[in-house]
Amino acid sequence: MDRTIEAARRGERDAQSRLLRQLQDPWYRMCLGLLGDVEMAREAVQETALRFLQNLHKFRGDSQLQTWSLGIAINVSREFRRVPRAGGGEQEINEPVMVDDPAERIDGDEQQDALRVVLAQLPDRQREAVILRFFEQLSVEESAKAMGCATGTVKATVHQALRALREKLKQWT
Amino acid sequence: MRQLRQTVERGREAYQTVRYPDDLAAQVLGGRRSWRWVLPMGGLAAAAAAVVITLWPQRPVSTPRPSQPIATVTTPAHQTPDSLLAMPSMPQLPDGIDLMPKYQALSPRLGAMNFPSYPGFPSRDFESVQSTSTTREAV
Repeated sequence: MDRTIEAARRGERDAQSRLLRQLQDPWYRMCLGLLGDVEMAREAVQETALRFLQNLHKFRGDSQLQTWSLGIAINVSREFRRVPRAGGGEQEINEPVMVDDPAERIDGDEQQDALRVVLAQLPDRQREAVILRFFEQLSVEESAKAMGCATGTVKATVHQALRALREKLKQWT
Repeated sequence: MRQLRQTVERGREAYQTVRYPDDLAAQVLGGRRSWRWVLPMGGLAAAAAAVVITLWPQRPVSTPRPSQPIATVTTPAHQTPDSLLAMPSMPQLPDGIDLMPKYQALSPRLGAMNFPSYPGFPSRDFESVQSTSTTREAV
């Protein structure tokens, strides 16, 4: 892996391709989970890939490459949420968060539908924390690095998110 | 709490099934040259630009040849081309007027520079004054 990173830093295209193919799915899941829109998530992933290649020389190896690159995906998604998209207005996340393609949804699972809707209603930081901690299964430290905040902030944010999820899921049922 | 955990767990399973629908490497790197070629290509481009800039002033200036014949302009009969191009004559000053005053006029003639004699001042010799007054009293 380290050799691949070094080769990609030197500009070797095969190494860059290997890294992108390895990271495209985690990036896409993260962007789709945060943005809730397939097209926006695709654009965000491509932007993430460009920034990843541009900033690869800054990767020091303090964390996993995937964790570090998820931080880029989170930053790109934050920017996409802030910038008004074509079609007007701020982006409203009201699409299903985890799986947008209806064919990939779990049929008849009302709880999953409820979780998607409730997750989409969470504040951005809480949604980031839930996805990183429970869906990507990163540690608190790794989540903090990806989010660019302190570990205590991650713990507090996750605590608030779980409380909000519990309350909203009760209302749903 | 348990129900929430189960819900989140099943949500994670669904989350992990999501795949990027395209080939990201082909999309991003498809039209992208390897960085190895960037510096040599940039150097060649810079050298070509330097050659062009160096040779540019040595190019002979050539006037463009019109492909179409130039339309001729006919002038009226009473105007010859020379009269059209003739400049009006410069205004003439009348004779006898100098543009610059002569140098004598700027300064008086040497003979006219007679200064009056310096005024005389009384002498500050008190002894001579006293002696004069004594003489007058004696008279």
